[in-house]
Amino acid sequence: MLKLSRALSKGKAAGGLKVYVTGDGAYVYQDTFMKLAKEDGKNFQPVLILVGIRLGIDRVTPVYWDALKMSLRLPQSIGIAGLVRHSVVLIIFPLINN
Amino acid sequence: MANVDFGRYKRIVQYFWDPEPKNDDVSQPPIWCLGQEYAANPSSGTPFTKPEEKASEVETPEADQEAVMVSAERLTNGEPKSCDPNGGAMTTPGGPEDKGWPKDFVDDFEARFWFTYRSHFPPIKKSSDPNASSSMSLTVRLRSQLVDQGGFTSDTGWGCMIRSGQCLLANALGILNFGRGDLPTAPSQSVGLIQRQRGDEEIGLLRSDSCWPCSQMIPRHHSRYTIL
Repeated sequence: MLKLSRALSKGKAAGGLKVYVTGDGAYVYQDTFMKLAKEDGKNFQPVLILVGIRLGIDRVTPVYWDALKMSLRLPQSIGIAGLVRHSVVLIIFPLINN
Repeated sequence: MANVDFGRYKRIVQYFWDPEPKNDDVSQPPIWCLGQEYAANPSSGTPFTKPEEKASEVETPEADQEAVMVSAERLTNGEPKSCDPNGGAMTTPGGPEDKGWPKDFVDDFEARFWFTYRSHFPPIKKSSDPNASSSMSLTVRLRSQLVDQGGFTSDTGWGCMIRSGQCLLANALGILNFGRGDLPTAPSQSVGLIQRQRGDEEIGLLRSDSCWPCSQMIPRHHSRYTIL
């Protein structure tokens, strides 16, 4: 997971896709994000947001279920990657357009 | 009795018997896949009820089964006003092979890229770093000492993180380049997509025999990527 994050977090475009990694937290900072998305100041480029969140210890904590379902229903959501029972899950959102 | 953890026993049973998930919830909630809603199959539904299925989970790494990266999720509608299956998205009833899932949903889901565990690949040498073994889980360590002494030839125990990440990245790139509709299933088109990725050193992770669309129109021996 770290290697994947490190490889992608350099922000290098891959087939036209930039990557924003939140690291261990769930915060996406608007100014950092916009600087990445609009590198030339004008054109918005697609950005994949990797949100590193711990969803539970050996299972998803029940209070998170509804929020998790809502976020997965977003058309911008690309899903979850993670380790079961290893407390590491990413929720990943590519923002394709403005 | 309330504190008994059935999850552990369920996992043990699943190691030996883990049938494909069926859509047999009589309440027929809508099904979502990457932002698209599909009304549940109006004509299906068996008399018995099942506990709510968690569709968004990766199977246990210890089970030597293929992990399915599921982006779809099941909604449970606890409200008295339940969703009208005819008022939602149009859907066509699935056949018996779809196990109760609507055909539109199955087609959409099968069109996604699917990355899963691999085995019998060229061995990946073990790290010479003395701290490396402490970061491996017990089962991975046992396997590397007893079975894969020349290096890793299977990614059981550590592959799910990488595979699920690759799966999401591939689907993101697929949607970016081809739109939300069906991903290309013809070999030449898929190779084109992955080749673009392969040209970028950061996406070396995707360079592999590890990816083909769920519909499996690309037979295994035709896929041209070797595992990293």
